[in-house]
Amino acid sequence: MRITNLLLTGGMAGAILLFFTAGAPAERIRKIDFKDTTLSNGLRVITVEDHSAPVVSLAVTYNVGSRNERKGRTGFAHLFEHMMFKGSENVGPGEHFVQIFTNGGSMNGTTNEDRTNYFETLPANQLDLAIFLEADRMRSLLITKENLDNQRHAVQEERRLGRDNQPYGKSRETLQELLYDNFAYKHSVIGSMEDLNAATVEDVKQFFKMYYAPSNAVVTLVGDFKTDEALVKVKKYFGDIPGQPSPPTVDMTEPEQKAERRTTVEDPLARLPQITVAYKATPGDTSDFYALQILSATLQSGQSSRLSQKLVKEKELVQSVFGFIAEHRGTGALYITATLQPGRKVEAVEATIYEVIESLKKEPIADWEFQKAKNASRYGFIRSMENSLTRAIMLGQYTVFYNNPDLINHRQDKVAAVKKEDVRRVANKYLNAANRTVVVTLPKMKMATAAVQQ
Amino acid sequence: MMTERIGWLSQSILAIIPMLLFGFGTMAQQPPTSFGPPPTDRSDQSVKGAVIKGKAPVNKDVLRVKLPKA
Repeated sequence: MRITNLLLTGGMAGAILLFFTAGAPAERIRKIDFKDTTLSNGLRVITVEDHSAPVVSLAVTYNVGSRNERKGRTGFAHLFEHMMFKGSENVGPGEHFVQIFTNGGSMNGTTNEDRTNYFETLPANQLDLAIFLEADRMRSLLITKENLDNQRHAVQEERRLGRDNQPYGKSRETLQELLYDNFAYKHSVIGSMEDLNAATVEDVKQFFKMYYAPSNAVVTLVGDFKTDEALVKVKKYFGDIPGQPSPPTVDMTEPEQKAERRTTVEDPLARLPQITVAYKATPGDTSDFYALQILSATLQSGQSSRLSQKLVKEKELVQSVFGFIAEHRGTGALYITATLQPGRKVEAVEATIYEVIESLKKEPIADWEFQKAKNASRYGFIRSMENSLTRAIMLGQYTVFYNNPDLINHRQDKVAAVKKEDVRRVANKYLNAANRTVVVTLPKMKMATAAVQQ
Repeated sequence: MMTERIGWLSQSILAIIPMLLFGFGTMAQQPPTSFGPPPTDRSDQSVKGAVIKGKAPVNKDVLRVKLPKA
């Protein structure tokens, strides 16, 4: 009875909320006041006081990702991320985990094409600990052959787990290689087994010296502290780390694609055919990028999206369709992936995808689709900003990507500024046959059966 | 024990309400932004074999939290 009442009350409240928000001007999102400081060694420090909860989040974003890797050393940026947990002058191997977990915190690190970050959230009275742990490994990482071999094997296992032994894993890697011409994005972040085996201690040392310098990093602190006191602590621990010359800039030039690219992957782990269509797009934080976000949401976000309605519900050709617009510092891409229903033809699915795309080029999208996409973006952004760690990570990313931490306060304005005509314009500009790369994955059942039998 | 179960159930229902109102699709509106590897799961990182140098500045005081007045 209580549950029924609760649901009814919630449902009515929701209906009223939707009624009043439809067409109403959106309220401004709460501004994030930050202080932007640069230490004498070049380390940029962004601080945001937030006393709503007694926690602090710290993120260190390094201006290095797999785009900085050279041929023969793919996977190195991610391998290096692992090395950062193996100890430093004043922190023993594995001690980072112990100190964070036993003091009520959480932490991790991630690597993508364009940056590497490390972060932790701790109770507010452990601010010194967080800053100390990050500063010590920036200053004096312990680089040994034993640590390298250990983490090389850990990364190789990650590759087996997440790529080599996953259905469609090979297809994702194949797509990246086919989609891009510039080596920066033409290889996977996880790297190849051969290249991971080839990494040497000397490589690690050079990489550390070149990219893990204060002038190539941004520290972002969000949480329950006083800014002046926090900055004193940051200077105390990071201030004497010597600066380094700037690393070489990466040439991100991507030649214009002149014709469709296509390949087929036979996958012994796949049970159903799958098709991925990728269109080269624009770098992040451009007006076209935000218009493509709305376009992508209209096409493939949620059950009411055009592709889901057409492919899943109406024609019953696929069991799922999803995709996204990748935000990159260089050329991004819009991806559409559909996994077929048993017995359906890839050709029929592909033709339907293009048919839906063509409709977006000819007619403006409906008001409700437009508003839904903008609402979803706004909702997702506000929700993620509730978390101090997400704010720290986004501030770091916007600073490293665009030299613009204030983007956190304007990003949703840029989404709101997209017009329906922009959506049609970018559909015509980017979603063309000559600009697309198609990877079809077909199950290789005989081999799979043989593998199971072994 | 029973109180805990009812509390859990109520919380679950409350968590479901936004999804019912705004659709499951909305809850999944934060798509990935690249094909990079997912973050390494370090949440269950074993502390076995860790070397504690003991130089990290750990605050031994209990954090005292002032809750806002109702």
